[in-house]
Amino acid sequence: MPAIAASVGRGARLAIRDLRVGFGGVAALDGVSLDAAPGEIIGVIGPNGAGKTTLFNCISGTVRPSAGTILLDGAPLGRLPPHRRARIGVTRTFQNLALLDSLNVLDNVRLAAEQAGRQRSAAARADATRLVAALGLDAIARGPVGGLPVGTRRKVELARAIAGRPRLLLLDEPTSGLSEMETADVIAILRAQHAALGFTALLVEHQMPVVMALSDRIVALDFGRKIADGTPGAIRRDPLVLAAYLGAAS
Amino acid sequence: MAGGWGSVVVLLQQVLTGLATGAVYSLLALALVVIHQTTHHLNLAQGEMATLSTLTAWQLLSWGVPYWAAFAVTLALSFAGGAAIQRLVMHPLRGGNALVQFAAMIALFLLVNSVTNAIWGPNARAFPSILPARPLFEGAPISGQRVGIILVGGALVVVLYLFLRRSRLGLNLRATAANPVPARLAGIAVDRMRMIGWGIAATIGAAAGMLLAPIVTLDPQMMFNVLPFAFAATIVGGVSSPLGAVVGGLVIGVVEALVTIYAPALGRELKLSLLFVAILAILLVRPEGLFVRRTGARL
Amino acid sequence: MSVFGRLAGLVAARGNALLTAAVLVAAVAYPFLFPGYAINSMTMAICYGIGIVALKLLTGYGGQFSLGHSAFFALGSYVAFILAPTIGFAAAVAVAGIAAALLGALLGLAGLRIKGHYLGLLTFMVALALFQMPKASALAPITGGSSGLFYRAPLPATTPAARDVWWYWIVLAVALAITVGVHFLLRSRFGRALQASRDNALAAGALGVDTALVDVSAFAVSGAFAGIAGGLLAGVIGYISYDSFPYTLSILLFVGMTVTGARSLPAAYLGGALIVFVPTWAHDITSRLSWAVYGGALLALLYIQVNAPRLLQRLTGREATRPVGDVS
Ligand SMILES: Nc1ncnc2c1ncn2[C@@H]1O[C@H](COP(=O)(O)OP(=O)(O)O)[C@@H](O)[C@H]1O
Ligand SMILES: [Mg+2]
Repeated sequence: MPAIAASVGRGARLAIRDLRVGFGGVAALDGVSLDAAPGEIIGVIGPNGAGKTTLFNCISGTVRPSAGTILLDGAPLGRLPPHRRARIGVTRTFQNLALLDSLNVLDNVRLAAEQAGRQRSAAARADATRLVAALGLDAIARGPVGGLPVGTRRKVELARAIAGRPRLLLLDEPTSGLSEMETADVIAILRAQHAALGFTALLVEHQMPVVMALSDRIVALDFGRKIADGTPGAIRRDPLVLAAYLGAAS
Repeated sequence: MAGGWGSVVVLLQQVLTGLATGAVYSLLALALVVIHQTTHHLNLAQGEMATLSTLTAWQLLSWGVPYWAAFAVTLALSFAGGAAIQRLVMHPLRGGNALVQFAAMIALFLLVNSVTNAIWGPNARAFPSILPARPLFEGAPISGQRVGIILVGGALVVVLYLFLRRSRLGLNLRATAANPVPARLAGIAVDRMRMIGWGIAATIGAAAGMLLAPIVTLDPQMMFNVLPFAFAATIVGGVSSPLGAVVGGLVIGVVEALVTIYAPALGRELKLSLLFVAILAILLVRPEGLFVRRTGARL
Repeated sequence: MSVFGRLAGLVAARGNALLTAAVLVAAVAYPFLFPGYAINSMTMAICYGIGIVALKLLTGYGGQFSLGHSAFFALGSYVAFILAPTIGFAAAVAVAGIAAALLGALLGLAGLRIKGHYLGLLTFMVALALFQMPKASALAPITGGSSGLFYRAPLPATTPAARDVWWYWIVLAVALAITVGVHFLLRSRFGRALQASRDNALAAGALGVDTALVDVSAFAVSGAFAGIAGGLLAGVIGYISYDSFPYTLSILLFVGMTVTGARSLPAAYLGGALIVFVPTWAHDITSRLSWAVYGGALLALLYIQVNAPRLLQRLTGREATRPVGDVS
């Protein structure tokens, strides 16, 4: 869904220039550049091992690129540590789910609200409670996150990333492992939250219908390189993208 | 200039002395690294087990067993003992978390220390050295004893290093520690590897103890003043690097010997404290140790 | 949750509150109920209990292993006794807390670099190393060398028995304050951040938690409480020397934490009692092997703790399942 005019200005402008990451000989990112306008949702697609998660790790600061720059509203992130990036509005979900097992559902969300938002404790708590309710998690808010089913865990992750007051939201396969109904639910949540908050977002996704439904633009990666960048319609017909996916499938 | 020459001799003497103690630190540090590489445990009771082995050797000697026979029998007994401890104590606790396993090693520490105390009492005993304690030749800067330690210790270190890096068993041991599940899938007998790992570590500890005993006081607390240095060696060298442990041990041995002679005012008490200031500094500047390549964590 | 479930939860919560209240009343009334009986041992047990609370904060909730908490006790006791004659005992104990916090922060910095068993071993080595320090001849003029230090804190009581009761109440009050403080600390922003850092440091960082700051702070706070406990305990005994708080105390504190549940604060005082009373019992069983008895009992306890579910299953005759990928 295209960014709503009213929300423009609350999302950050992201500019990535010639990003490179190597892991012992493997080039996980091999000179990737990418731009996102404030409030834009960019789908990031590519076969497994293409470097999508590594791209996210660079932006959120857990992996240090060997070369290249990442600019947020024109300011380079440089060597800013991960928690400082979160506090200026770079929040994320994790492909492999990284809920905090010692904390209950509400406290997982509340932690993000009070850390990333740097707000007063009561305000953070209220924010978290509201978000937990909005995502339909209030019945389990006081329960442990440990035994929850994947669908619910993904939603808690989503709530947590949104509680951090994102200006740039990084979503790493938010519907992976979900049923069709749960997937529709996540899409609806993302639309509503995006409309309300206007964040910029990068969305890594394997399910094409989800990418198509949410993205303003799509970027395709393969072997750490950007092989395509365009509207959903154009990407769907792009021969390089088709080859990368067919090649990965064969 | 005579004075200048004299100080060079003193320096050389201290370096060689340090290398001898360092060789023992290296061995113990290597034992720590081996256990870590094969089980991902860090054995708190390593020093106590080494003391038990050394006192066993002393017992054999006092019964009239010849030196090298006692040495070999002790190594064999230690291997069996280490493997048995893994099988009987650590294996049944494998389902516990890191806290439980650490507590188990604390219990081992207490058990072994208490048993050695009960059997041999707190008194110090004399332990023979491989080579006689007098200088090798007239005016030599080092005693025969320490030459023996360097030679035997060095040989053991080389054998172990080659074993871990080159042999099939060594590879399997390392694979087990790195990731037990795929190792098991690849057909490695993971449980047996862990027993062997503990056995080897106990054997190395025994060798280190027997080399060390002649130059320190052999009593149930023998390792208390040694283990901190061995541990420091693993930090200096990097906890996952056998070569680092060896070099770290030698470096610490030499530094300790030099500090002893050039800053005698520190005394043993402050020397230990300084050692930890140094460890802390290394951890802050180069946390992965001086000999390990940096790798990133995976999200 | 069913209505019944909620009710049961409420009763349990009320029950817990009732139990806590009952234990508190009993603790306050103890000197009246059993005048003179073992009161000194109780006071010491509470001091060690404070140390275990500190350890639970650091290890149970923060996930950082410390086998060096005896060093905080020792540092706290020396600082308290060195300063008490000039600035008074209460102020000296406060400074002892600060000094121990600094040592804690230092170990916390090390803890940023090494984790788990390695940190446990490092802190143990620190306890071993510092343990010797007061004996050093260079420090002897301040620390009293191997003969130690004496100090008699002024209390509004003259007879030894009355002093014992005073000490009991003072220590009890401090213990209560620290335990309640830690309870609320764990439910604060800092407490959530601390547990997040333990659960998954990378994820916590990505959520905005300054994990380094949180971990180092936890070590400092834990050290401060243990240092205060050490200062108090020194006051109670009236005499310290280098072996008042040997490295074995670190072991006892760690074990006291493990066996009373790493994440249960009130049970820490049970752990404190274990420290004071169990070695005596073990000694009664067999004097030469008392530590072996202690170690053996600990192993048995750990074995039950780890394997209880499986053993129960076997007793009830059901198939025991084993995880494919154990991580030991
Ligand atoms: N921490 C790491 N260490 C070594 N290799 C890594 C690490 N993280 C990612 N890689 C490698 O980098 C490449 C890209 O991985 P990733 O970014 O996870 O891909 P994607 O998310 O697109 O599936 C892969 O070849 C992967 O094996
Ligand atoms: Mg990925």
